[in-house]
Amino acid sequence: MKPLITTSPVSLKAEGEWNADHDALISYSVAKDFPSSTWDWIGLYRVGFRHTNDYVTYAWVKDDEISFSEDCNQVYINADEIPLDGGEFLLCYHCHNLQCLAGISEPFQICPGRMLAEKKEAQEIPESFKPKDLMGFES
Amino acid sequence: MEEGDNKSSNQLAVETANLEEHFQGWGEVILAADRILRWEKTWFPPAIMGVVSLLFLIIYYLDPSVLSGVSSFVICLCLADYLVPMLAPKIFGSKIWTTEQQQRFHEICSNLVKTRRRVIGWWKRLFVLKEEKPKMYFMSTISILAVVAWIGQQVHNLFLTYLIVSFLLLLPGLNKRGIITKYVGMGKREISKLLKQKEKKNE
Repeated sequence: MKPLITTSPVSLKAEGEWNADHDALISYSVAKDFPSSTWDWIGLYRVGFRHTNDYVTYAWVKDDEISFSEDCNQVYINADEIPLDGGEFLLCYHCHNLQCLAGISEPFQICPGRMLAEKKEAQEIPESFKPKDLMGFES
Repeated sequence: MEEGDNKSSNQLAVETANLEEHFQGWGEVILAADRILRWEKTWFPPAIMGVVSLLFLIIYYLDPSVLSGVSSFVICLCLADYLVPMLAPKIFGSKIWTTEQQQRFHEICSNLVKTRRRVIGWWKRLFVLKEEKPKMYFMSTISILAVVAWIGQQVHNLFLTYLIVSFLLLLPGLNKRGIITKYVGMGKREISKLLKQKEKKNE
């Protein structure tokens, strides 16, 4: 039996250094006559993922497009959606028309966010919002 | 990417710059509203609820017709559009913005552009769904609209509007506190589990 497709129709690459402090950039290129759609998305997965839906976050290929050209397109992922603790990840392009992952990037490192402590602090409930008893102590 | 190649320019940066130029006269007002909506001080959320409640009580008392209400609202928008750029420098002073203020204004405009792209994206995806799966599109839209119509029938018109407006105004603060992210994350995980179970059953 011969495989129908020998090379991935989509090639993906994570650009630059990734961390949760700034938006991240993804470059991808598609083969000629690739059936792209507005429902296509690029997912960020931890290495070792088992299912297409096990993404950490994703970016719509059309909504989150930064630039496009004949050879290469670029998409961004919001800084808020990038895991604060970092780790080893990879990118996968999900094609809606083919209903499969049409491209997988090389694994890459996401560094822990420098503003990790600041973001955690912003997500904590302020003192005045914490429930307190009549003596003013937190319950 | 070569300079002058319009296709490969940073579209997001261009759209953000255009929006910043458009809102130049509203800069101080936008920054002030941003501080309030993001709950910079602990009394901002009750203040927001107080103002919204007072406004809706006034509307309830006046009981205007739909046409009068909509016209009055548009009059207020037109007046604001004319007066704010003129009066803002006199009220806030013509001080040069700090780097922090400029950065925050840039972030706000960038977020607005991203939100607009998201809305347009979902609109386009809906039409693609209509072409690819017309039955599913028809059933989903009819079901959702029927549920919305039922809710509209159960809850008083003005009260429903009050709840929606209150929620929308509290949303930025809730988002900053991570509350929205937490529950949306839970919802996404549940949907993901259901989809996996459905796939297993199909297999």
